Amino acid sequence: MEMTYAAAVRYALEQEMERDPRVFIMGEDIGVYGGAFGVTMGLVERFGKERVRDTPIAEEGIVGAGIGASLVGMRPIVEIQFSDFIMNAMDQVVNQAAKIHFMFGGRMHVPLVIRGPAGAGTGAAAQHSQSLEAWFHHVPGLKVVMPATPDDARGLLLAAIRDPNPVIMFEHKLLYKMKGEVEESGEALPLGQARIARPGRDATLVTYSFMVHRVLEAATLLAGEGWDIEVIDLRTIVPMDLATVTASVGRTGRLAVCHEAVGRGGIGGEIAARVWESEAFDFLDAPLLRITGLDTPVPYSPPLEQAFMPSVERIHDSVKSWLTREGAH
Amino acid sequence: MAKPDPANFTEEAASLPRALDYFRTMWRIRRFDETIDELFASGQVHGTTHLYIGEEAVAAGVIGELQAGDVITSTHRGHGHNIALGGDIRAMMAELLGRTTGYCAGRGGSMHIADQNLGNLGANGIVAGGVPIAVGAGLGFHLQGRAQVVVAFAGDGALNEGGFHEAANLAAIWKLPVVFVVENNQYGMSGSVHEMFALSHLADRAAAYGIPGLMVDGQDVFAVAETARYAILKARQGGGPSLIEAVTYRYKGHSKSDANRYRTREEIQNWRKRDPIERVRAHLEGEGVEAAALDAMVAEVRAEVAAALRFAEESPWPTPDTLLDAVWAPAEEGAD
Amino acid sequence: MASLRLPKLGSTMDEGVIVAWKVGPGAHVEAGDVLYEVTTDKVNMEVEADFPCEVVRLLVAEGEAARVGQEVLEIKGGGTAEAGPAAVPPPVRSGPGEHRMGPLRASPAARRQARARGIDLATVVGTGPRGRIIGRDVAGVKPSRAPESAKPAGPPASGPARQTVQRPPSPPRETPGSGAFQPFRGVRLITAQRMTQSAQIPQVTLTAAVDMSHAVQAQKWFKTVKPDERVAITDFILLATVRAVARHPVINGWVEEAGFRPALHVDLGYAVDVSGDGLYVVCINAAEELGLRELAGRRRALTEAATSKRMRPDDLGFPSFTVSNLGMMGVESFNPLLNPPQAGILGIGAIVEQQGRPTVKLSLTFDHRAVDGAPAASILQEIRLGLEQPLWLL
Repeated sequence: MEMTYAAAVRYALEQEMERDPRVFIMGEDIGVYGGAFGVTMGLVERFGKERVRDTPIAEEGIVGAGIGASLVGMRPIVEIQFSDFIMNAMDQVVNQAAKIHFMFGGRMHVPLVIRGPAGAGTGAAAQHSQSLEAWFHHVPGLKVVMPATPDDARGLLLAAIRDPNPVIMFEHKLLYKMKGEVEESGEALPLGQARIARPGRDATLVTYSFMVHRVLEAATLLAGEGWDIEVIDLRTIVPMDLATVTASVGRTGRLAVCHEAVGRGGIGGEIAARVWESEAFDFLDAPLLRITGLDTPVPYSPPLEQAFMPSVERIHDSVKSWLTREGAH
Repeated sequence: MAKPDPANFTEEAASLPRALDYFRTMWRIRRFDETIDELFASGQVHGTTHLYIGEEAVAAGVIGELQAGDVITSTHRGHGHNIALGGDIRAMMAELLGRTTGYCAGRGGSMHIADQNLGNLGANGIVAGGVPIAVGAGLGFHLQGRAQVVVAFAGDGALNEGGFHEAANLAAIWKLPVVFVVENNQYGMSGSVHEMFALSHLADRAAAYGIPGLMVDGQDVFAVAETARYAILKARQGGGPSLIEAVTYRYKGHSKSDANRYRTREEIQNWRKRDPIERVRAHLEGEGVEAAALDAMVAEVRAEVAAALRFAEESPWPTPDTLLDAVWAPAEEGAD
Repeated sequence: MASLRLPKLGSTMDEGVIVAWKVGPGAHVEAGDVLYEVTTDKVNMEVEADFPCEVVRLLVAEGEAARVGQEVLEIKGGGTAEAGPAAVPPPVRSGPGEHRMGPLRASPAARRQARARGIDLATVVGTGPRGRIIGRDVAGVKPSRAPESAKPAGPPASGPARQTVQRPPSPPRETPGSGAFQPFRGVRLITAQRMTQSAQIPQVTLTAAVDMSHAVQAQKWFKTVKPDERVAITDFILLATVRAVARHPVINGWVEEAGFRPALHVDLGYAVDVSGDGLYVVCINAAEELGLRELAGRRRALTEAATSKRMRPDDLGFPSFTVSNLGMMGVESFNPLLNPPQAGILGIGAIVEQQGRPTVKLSLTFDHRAVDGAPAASILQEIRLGLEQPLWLL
């Protein structure tokens, strides 16, 4: 069934609320308003105000409430209106949710999902446009999911809800309207399994979320110029499917990473480090290339915002000059 | 008239067995924390700990009013809560000593001792960290249609945390079965409530959330229990949350690094004169319980704590090989 | 303000002489512009800018030597526009520690292949940026030693690539009536050392006159049929030599102090005179696997690279046998000196008419420690027969 990414998220929420009475959603303006991006549109009519729960503007409170409900047997899903606002809930996310299972000797677990829109490109400026996955990736005990397609959004969200650990799912705002074929079986997709979005021989380009599409577009351009790029969509940042990445690097000998989040301290560095530590090191034939958001807050004005995000052109040019310099041909 | 024998008390003497329970529970808390204090002082335990000595009446009085299936969230000063719930002091001691037989298998330490099977959803190293979690548990009970109650323990310092405010408001608007018990022990580390609040009574904060605010002498276990009984019953019957301020005092420093520079010896001595355990003892003696019987009970508790310490010391140290696996809950815990 | 340092242009390069500056202070250069010409112990090279910048000051005068890593040029504005936030620093603007990273610039993939196949990376030509040896460079190389063997093996320790540059002796006092003293440097110095070394080797030269009638006819026929391929008489001689040498491994290899190390392939050295610079020996690897046209193509490409000074020092390789051609300069016959540690060298004279037939004099010099006169004579004989019956070669 073809539907948009936003509809696919909603579809997964509906399927799981239908299937599992423990599942409920809470967040700001998710009821009759339907959520800031319309993801929960219609759910309150179907499931009622108890299970589709409008909350005050209190991120720490609602994330903490999600944790508490999960501890007494519920399967809460907390929507953070813009994922930037999760900063208000950092104590509950980092000091509580991530640590409860470990800290209490495995006697409790937190089956909580926190989901929210991330990313730039909508003119929402510095406090409504960030890609903060690296922060959460750094915290042991949190899973981080960043689907790039409608069906991945559906299948990975189902997996996130069914997972006994806290899972954060970042949905890129520019993906919400993207259409794609969506599986109807209600089967979850496994967390921690990357997808080779495009096979290629000359270099491995690892990416995720919205950047998958820009990278694929750049790879098509590069293919016309004789460069054959393998594109890997990580799909989940934690757990990370390192095996798919290293196997690919073993074939191509070259590793590039692309993400919208700022480069400094980003996931790209982590991927590179893990490849270095892996058996794929001996197959590297060129230095790393990182194509990332600039090390600035996300700016507002369109030309500035476009310069911040890796564009198809920037990805294409960076990869091309990298491969030219590194003599891949 | 024959003197009553504590061992022969029946339900008809409702207040007497309960008072004896308080006496035993409060002594277990005190003796446990005194032992911890000695272990730290002699350098046998590393890290830090926060002792509940002086505040025993609050945990004993409130938790005595809970029913099976009710839950609490605890604080960094949480040993007393877990003991009042009936926690296994051997597993508590082992956790403090960092052994595999500890509640958290040595991964948590003093600030994370909690027995989930008894309804303790976690002691917490973050001030007010457990309060939103308590509200979430209340929400869970509400959604499940269960007549269970949650008690969120918090210190006076927690009342100034944003998380407390957000959580209290959620509980209030959704009428959740939560009782906030603020243990006002006069100091957030060194910060006196007189300096950190512009209020005379912390319970007045409740008005801001539109919920009842109750104030009680935290050194009087009977008063605490009565107040808690009211708030808990109200919550259980769908009447929504309440906030109880239990005015109490910690005899020991905030933590092991505390040199008590912010308060006087005289102030501590004055509070000791109102010792909550001595007050229960006086009550029991007034009810005709023999001092020797109470002393025997205390000796029993001492022996129990000493045995717990031996158990902990004889327990194995954890090995690091399981550490990485311990981060994630296995999938079967999520099974339907 | 930034500076550019003298890059390490070959695996054995320690220093280079700035032969000529191609830019001056104030010049704006684009990526790819030639900055200066440098001569190393092996080869002259042009060093290009890897990114646009402005030249502020030249730090080394023409004719002066600089060590690898020494600052030679002060610049400003060295940013790259294209690479974005995570730009790799411009390659030539090497940091102070760059040349300390190791004796060889090789990718992990190249190192893995070299380990597995027993290839000494010092013998491999790097085609990556800054001469980095990358995987495909190693893939095309024949193993020179047993893989991972305990004993140091491979190219002879005294091989050219391992030769350390001796400091020139201090100049003698000015002699009345003489010009300024010119110390041997770079290629000249190497040649001087190599030839001095060679003169101490007991070597013998055999000369034979070869009737080239058929070869000349064949070459003309080639020229008509395949005008683009530009096969020269020289290529016929090289082909005959390669075939003969391949059949006589006794002369194809390297003489070491106490023995002879045969080469696995005929890696044919071909001496090229580069005017003003001296003699370069380019190397056609595994020449026995090549046909006439391929051989001609390789020789032409390498010769052009050498004369246009666009070759890399590592292009020079490790010849196992060398051919020196002075014929095009009218020399009828000469005794080539061995290029140690090789065991043999063939000299080609000019084609002259003798009894109405085009004739060439070939001189084979061999290291008598490793090779006797009779086998050497039969090698020369085979070369002669090959050239007189060129169809056999094709």
